[in-house]
Amino acid sequence: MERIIEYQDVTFRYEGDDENHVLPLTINGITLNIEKGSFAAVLGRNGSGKSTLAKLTNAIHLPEDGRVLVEGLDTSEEKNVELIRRKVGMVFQNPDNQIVATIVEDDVAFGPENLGIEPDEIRRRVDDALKAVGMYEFRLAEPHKLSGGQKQRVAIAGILAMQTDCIVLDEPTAMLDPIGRREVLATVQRLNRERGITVLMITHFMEEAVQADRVIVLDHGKVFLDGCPRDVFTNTQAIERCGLTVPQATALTRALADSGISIRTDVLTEEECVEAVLKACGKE
Amino acid sequence: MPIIRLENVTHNYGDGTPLCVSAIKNINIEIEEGELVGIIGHTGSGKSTLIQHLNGLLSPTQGRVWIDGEDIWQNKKNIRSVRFKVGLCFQYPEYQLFEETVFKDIAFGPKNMKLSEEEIKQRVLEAAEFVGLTPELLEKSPFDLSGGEKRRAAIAGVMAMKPKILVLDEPTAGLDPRGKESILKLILRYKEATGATVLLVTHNMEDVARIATKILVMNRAQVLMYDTVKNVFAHSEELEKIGLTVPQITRVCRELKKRGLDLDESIYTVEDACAALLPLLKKGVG
Repeated sequence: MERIIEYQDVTFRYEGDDENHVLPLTINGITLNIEKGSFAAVLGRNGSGKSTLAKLTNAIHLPEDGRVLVEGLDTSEEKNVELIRRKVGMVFQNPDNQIVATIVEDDVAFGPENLGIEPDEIRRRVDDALKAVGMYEFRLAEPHKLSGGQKQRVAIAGILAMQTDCIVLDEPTAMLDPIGRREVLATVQRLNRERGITVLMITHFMEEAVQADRVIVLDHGKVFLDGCPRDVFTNTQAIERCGLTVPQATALTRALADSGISIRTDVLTEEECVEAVLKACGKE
Repeated sequence: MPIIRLENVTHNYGDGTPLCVSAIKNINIEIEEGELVGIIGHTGSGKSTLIQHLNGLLSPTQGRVWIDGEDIWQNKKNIRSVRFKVGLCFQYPEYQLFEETVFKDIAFGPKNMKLSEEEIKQRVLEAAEFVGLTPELLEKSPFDLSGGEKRRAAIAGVMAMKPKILVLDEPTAGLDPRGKESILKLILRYKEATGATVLLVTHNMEDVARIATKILVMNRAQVLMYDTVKNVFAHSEELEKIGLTVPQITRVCRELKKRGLDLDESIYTVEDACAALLPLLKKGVG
């Protein structure tokens, strides 16, 4: 598989108030390859280094040691930064902090306009991006009148209009209600599947992480677990040791197995849990 | 006597203009002292408008608000005292820290209550200890604290006023599972230690299921349900229709019941689901 992002033995620390006050490493030796077209979820407790890792991806932060490569371009080289930011778009937690224009379509056009793209091409890209996130009918709306989930989708459209290959989302649903969360997750999944856009999504919601192809768990600035959702989430002990929880469906079958019931314990979703319980009952 | 009573409360934004909308409409509700009420409802259902009526930040366009037996708008001069009785902690309260030190920030509320220096100091120390902030943190700038510490400092500032009614808007938003757990435990301990009535606005149904005694469901500016947790989650399909989710475990049990297992459909914790399933599974095996 082709790699789109490579983190090679990366370390990073934030600057202290003065020279005598050196802060510990926030990222403490991370080596990871993100494959083109994949959907990876990044989990970890607060302070584990998730957001810092995201910001290392498009040169908002630069590694103290090691290298971050985006399609082979080193983020530490000044001349690469502009190109890297065109390849990797970021969506942040707070929907209100990333909208700049007063009309939805102007906001989506903001990125391509800055790239100096022809107006006809911008028009085409904006319409296409808004359709891709299901916000075309709101193209003339005022962003402040949209719901949180709609605003996040506009932010995603802004990135699509730049024709980026990869989207990094830093807890995009943390401030949304259940409907907004569902809308954003469905949009991200669709872009990944239908357009082959690489997705790196930081989240605290285990139910969202279950939808990814790969789950990377960070702890103390290192990669603690890395694998497909089923392998990661069925490692209940390790998940709990790094301060996370498993989905309730997984927790239920685990609790039943611990009480002596013969039942499959590698379930991830509601449907799998229901089937496993029915099977254990002999009611398949 | 209920500690909170809303009598036919309506609140219009843009009243008298063509853009007038009722954010809450004809709300009638009575909340008894000592309850821990989870308030749920999708964005725009009126939750925030509702809670801002409880301490007089908003006044009703129509209707009356009774707190602790008193019509709070009867005498407008008394509205300050209502704010001490009903402590309101907004969403992402850490963005509202503003003082030079954590101590001063927590002291802000008690100072406004015009308490003596000695009493203020005692309340700050007590509240800080309660939320788990060590004394040396109190002299730091609030901006030097970690995210979790800031959140607790902000909550301590409300608790230091010792409100009889504590209202928190999304207190666990953005926290990791362990951070969530520690805030929920803190809220429970406050309720136990003071006997306060607590209202918790949240999107997180698992949180509500864990700690609430009752749930108030808002939909389209009105109260759709106000009942025990069990009774509300028994209407899980109805909740989903209005855009809310129920805990994953509730959905699992609902499906199992449909598929023929003899289960109570209002199960909302993994422990209860496990306890209810064990006898069925053991029978099945034997």
